[in-house]
Amino acid sequence: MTINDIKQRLEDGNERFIADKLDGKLNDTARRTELTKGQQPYAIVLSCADSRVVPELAFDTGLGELFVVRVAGNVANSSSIASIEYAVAHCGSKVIVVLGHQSCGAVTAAAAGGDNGYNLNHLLSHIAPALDATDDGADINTVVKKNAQLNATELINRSSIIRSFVEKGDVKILPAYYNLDSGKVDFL
Amino acid sequence: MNLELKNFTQTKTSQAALKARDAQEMLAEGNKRFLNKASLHRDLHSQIGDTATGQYPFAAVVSCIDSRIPTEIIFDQGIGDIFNARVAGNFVNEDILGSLEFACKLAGSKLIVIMGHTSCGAVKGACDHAKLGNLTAMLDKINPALAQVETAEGVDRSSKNLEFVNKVAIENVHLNIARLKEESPVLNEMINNGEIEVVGAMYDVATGKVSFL
Ligand SMILES: [Zn+2]
Ligand SMILES: [Zn+2]
Repeated sequence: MTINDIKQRLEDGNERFIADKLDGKLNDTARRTELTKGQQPYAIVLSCADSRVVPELAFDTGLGELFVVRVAGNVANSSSIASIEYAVAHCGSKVIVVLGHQSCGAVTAAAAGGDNGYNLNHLLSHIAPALDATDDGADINTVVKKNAQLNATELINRSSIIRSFVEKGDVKILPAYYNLDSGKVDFL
Repeated sequence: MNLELKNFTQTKTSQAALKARDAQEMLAEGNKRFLNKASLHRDLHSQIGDTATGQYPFAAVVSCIDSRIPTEIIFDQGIGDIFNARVAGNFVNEDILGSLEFACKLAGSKLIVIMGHTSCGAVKGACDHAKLGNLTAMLDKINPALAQVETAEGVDRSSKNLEFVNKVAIENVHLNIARLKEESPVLNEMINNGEIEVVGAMYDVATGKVSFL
């Protein structure tokens, strides 16, 4: 599959999801058995841990199709980056979707500021650049979109492995936005 | 099959009525449906509508990015049911702990599951002492589990020995539960108050079965 084929496949899957016509293919025993030998997922999704954003449902994919990295706020921290390097360098994945979503609680908490304790403060600090890059009091969803775009750039800036695949044209990074109220994914 | 379950979306009230034990039971039942090819055909469209303004996930799961383990599918859960953090090798770090604190403290989840799996590529990489970019530092997180698993002399400790790899994966789950309690005062307090529980699990990529540890 080419990068364009993969993007098309994700868009088609999302359309089936929105229409409530999931194929739900590739989730059976035969597929599971086939995959015990190994996996070659064509895409990686870096998305939020939010319970309403389920990449495999939103793109209607089955076993072995997507690597899914999830952390609140879909941030490119060193372990998200390392996970994606693994997918790109070892498994040949060609498309990386950085998927933000409407009304993200992590982005909302980052915008609200204040002390949330060591771990949450650490997590929310990754979202600060998106807040800095948008107007004070900007709509949360504007910050969410900026956050997806900046974290897509962060993958290239902080990983020489991902950067070299992108520069050769073997991998493409697509920032995207999931609409919680419709299930639609908009590529940004 | 129960129609009610099929069209059920968690609300603040339904979530509040659940205990950690119920949450674990719901995941175990869902995995059973998945194994028996009896997954519910949920009305996802109405679930999207029902959850657009808030989420009340009953459990939070930390699992691997592996493409063979779509968490919601193997537990047969719908939109808004489980908060899910995923990283290669299913370990906890500040940001994953922050995510779990968000899930439990702010979004009301009752149970945290740390789930490893058989034939994990990240665990194999740690066994083989693989070195590559940011991966090197990430695999260091799995090294303590590797060190904990003892083997008789002459036993292969590389990724070629799957039995060894899977033992390391189980140990990795146990160590990360301990790490979670140590490194998150927020979650530790909730555990001590009986508000949440943490449990380990292993997913078998050959059978599709989840075993709670
Ligand atoms: Zn979010
Ligand atoms: Zn794994």
